[in-house]
Amino acid sequence: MLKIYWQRIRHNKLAAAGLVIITVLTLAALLSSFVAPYDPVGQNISARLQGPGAAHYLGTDDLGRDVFSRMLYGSRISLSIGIIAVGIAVLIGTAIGIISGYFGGKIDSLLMRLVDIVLCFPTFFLILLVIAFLEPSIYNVMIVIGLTSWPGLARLVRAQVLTIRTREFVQAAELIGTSRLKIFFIHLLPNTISPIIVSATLGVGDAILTESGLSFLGLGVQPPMPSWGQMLTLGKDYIHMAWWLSLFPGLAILATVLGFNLLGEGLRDALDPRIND
Amino acid sequence: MNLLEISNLSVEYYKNKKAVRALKNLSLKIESGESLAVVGESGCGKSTLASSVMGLIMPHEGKITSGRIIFDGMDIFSFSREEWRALRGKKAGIVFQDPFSSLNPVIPVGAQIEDAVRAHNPELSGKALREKAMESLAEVLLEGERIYNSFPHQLSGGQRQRAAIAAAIANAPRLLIADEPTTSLDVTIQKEVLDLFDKLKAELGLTLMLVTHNIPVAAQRCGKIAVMYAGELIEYGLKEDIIKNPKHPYTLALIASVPRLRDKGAKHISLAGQPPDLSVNITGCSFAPRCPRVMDICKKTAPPVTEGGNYSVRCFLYGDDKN
Amino acid sequence: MANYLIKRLLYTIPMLIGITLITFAIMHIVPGKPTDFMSDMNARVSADSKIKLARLYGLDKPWYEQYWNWLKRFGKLDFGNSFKDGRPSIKKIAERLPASLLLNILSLTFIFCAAVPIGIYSAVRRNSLFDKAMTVFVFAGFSVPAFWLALLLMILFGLKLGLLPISGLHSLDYSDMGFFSRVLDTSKHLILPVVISAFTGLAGLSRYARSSMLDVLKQDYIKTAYSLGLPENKIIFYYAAKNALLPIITILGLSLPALIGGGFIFETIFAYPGMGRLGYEAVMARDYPVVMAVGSIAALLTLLGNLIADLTYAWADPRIRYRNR
Repeated sequence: MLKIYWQRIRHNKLAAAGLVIITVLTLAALLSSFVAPYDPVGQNISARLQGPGAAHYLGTDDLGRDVFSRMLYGSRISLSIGIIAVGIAVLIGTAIGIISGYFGGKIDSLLMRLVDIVLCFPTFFLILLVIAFLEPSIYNVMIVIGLTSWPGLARLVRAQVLTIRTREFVQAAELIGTSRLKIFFIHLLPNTISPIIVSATLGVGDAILTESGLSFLGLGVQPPMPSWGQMLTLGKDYIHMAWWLSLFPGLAILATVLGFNLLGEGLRDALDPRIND
Repeated sequence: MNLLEISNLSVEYYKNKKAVRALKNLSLKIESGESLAVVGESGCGKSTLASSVMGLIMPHEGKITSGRIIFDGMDIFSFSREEWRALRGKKAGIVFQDPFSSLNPVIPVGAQIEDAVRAHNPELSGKALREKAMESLAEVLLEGERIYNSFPHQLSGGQRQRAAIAAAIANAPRLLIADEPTTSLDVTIQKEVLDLFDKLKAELGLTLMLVTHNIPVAAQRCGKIAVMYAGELIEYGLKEDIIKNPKHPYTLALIASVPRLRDKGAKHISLAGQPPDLSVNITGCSFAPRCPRVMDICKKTAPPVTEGGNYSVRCFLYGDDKN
Repeated sequence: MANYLIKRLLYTIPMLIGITLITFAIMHIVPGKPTDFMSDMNARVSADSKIKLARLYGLDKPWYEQYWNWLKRFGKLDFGNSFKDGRPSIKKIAERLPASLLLNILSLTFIFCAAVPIGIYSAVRRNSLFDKAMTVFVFAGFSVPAFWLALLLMILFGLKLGLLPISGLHSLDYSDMGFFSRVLDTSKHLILPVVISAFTGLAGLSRYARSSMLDVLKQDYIKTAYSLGLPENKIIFYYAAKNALLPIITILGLSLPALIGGGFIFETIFAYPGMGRLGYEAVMARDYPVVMAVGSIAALLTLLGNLIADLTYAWADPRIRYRNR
């Protein structure tokens, strides 16, 4: 089964491209301390605002820090925020989706109304609101993005559970008195895994984009920790004299988010049972 | 004169990236004005046959790998897109199994029939189009005014199937293919719809190809019967010959499974096993694994077709050397 | 239809209650009593406004009374006066709303006009070069940080090429212009914001149109349409598209909050006089009454947008419009 999915992804050129981007990014994040030519926070005023060249591949910023090294370390921030935020959202969304779909009735309509209501508020506004009144920090950013991005997933999981719970194996498990927790983990969760994987992949891209926006506004990752969005804030101030400060971090965000989106779409096709009929 | 001549038609379907051989070297002809029933179990390729004649095998579903179909003297596989369009709906029409899904849910029934008329008579005015659509509805015994502005979901199953038939015959085609037209209808309505086909045949001089899994219906409504199994034509002949004197062991079993048709005293023959998987190549006769009269040769060599006049059978029991 | 209408309208009641409950909760949870952080963390808020706030929210009263007051004020759309200039919050929103609506409606129109043909052609020519190029194009729009793209385009068209104005909605001499110059001036100001917000919002709708079209093209009624000899254009653009695109009405309603939310950074960069920028500035200045007003109004607008979308859908889809007959 896994082999079939893997082949489908490989045959889908766009998904494969997404996978390559994400692999490169992951390697960059894991190996940044070995690969980075400079200390990402090391200042060198005599080499400030140098354009891309042999000494500094992607130039230096206003404090003479190496942009390439900072971007390598920035990939750690982006990836970890993306993954942890989505982890939180998946936990909440899956739990609510399974409970809502399995129990149905009043619990279901209550939870789904809650989802509808949360979806009425612009997500970025909610995030902005909470972050602005908390201390801005990387942890708060992760948690708040996670706490605000579960409703869509909850709906998906619920829909999936609704179709599964009427199937024989679930009803059989209920008849022989399997505990609810066991039914959740053994029967419902594995069968809802494909929509979860797909929306988690797309969600990582979304979270990285949100983080970059928050950091751009100075509400996200705090200096001197390098984050792509925060690097863009600086780029904005120097956009006339140092274009490289805006271009490269922006492209990195674009490529990363695009990578997750293409892979997510590819996974959607690969995991979609309907494609096969 | 033959209205339709199918020779050596082979069609492949795609399933899980595997090719399924839905039709294998099938040859069949229909004379102008006659009615032919194509019978067989589901999955035997009878619906594929119907779709092939109409050029409705969509590129993502499968493809015609070999063979020829001559319709009214024209080789339809050489058709251009426009020639196909001129054939469909104008010279040949088709009615599908499920009237719940074969009519467009968001367009009024009358407009759908009108569109069918307009497609082949672009010169007609709006008023003339409406009149022709009304005539069609009257032909299938639906009260025009009320049905005309209705959406499919507002009609009963029987009404929908009639409306679908009205669209198919709106341009008075010579050939009407009915692909399991009554299978998804209530029993009481099935008879009405089949009676309607008899009426259309008589009034419009239609040639009818009725695809069905229902042997009694075939025997009752059609002059000739073609029996299919695993993508092949195994027996073909006049209704009397097939029903009274079936030769192929599969036909025999099919008929014996209907109490009303089998001779008194003859016993029910039950067939063990399932039809074969068409994605693997079969050596010998595809019915051999289930055949009560199987011989050694059946498993090694494909059986010959024995033909004579209006009759043919594909079985070693009736090969030349046995006669 | 009448049944559906009543059901749909009744459904907005719990939604409204939910929205007021959530805003009420935000007011008290973030982070603790509003008065605390006002005085502790923000020098801009004077002791005077602390008293004002306590009076506005009635913080000394029991919570249910506070909620009841909140509900009453919500009903009158009275969210209190801004701490910054003492003007009613709702007035400030009313000033900004037209510009926000103008931007959102324009970009929704652009999105719709681009997404539908892209979706249809991508589905009809599935896996073609066009399909793949469009997939990358719409996902690039979805993946690009809007504020970054805005910056780059502002530099390119505004400063380097000098073709377009880069901030606000009107030029300084707007009041001296004649009618046509005004329209031209406003359009010029709108080009960049609308293009960027349409490009970044294109993916959702065009992908939806594509997959919906793919599903519809496999339906039996499409085969029927071919079997009747209908011209292919009619089959694709009428018989298939009508089915595939009906649900898009609802999707348009659902994409409202994303558009409003996307405006927060973006309107700020363009110094666009919309609600997003107002909300952003209010959050940054901890102008509490305006923050709550922006949140509530955005939620109400979304609720209204969804309601209109659902009712339009019900009217457009004959299966709902003529049910039970």
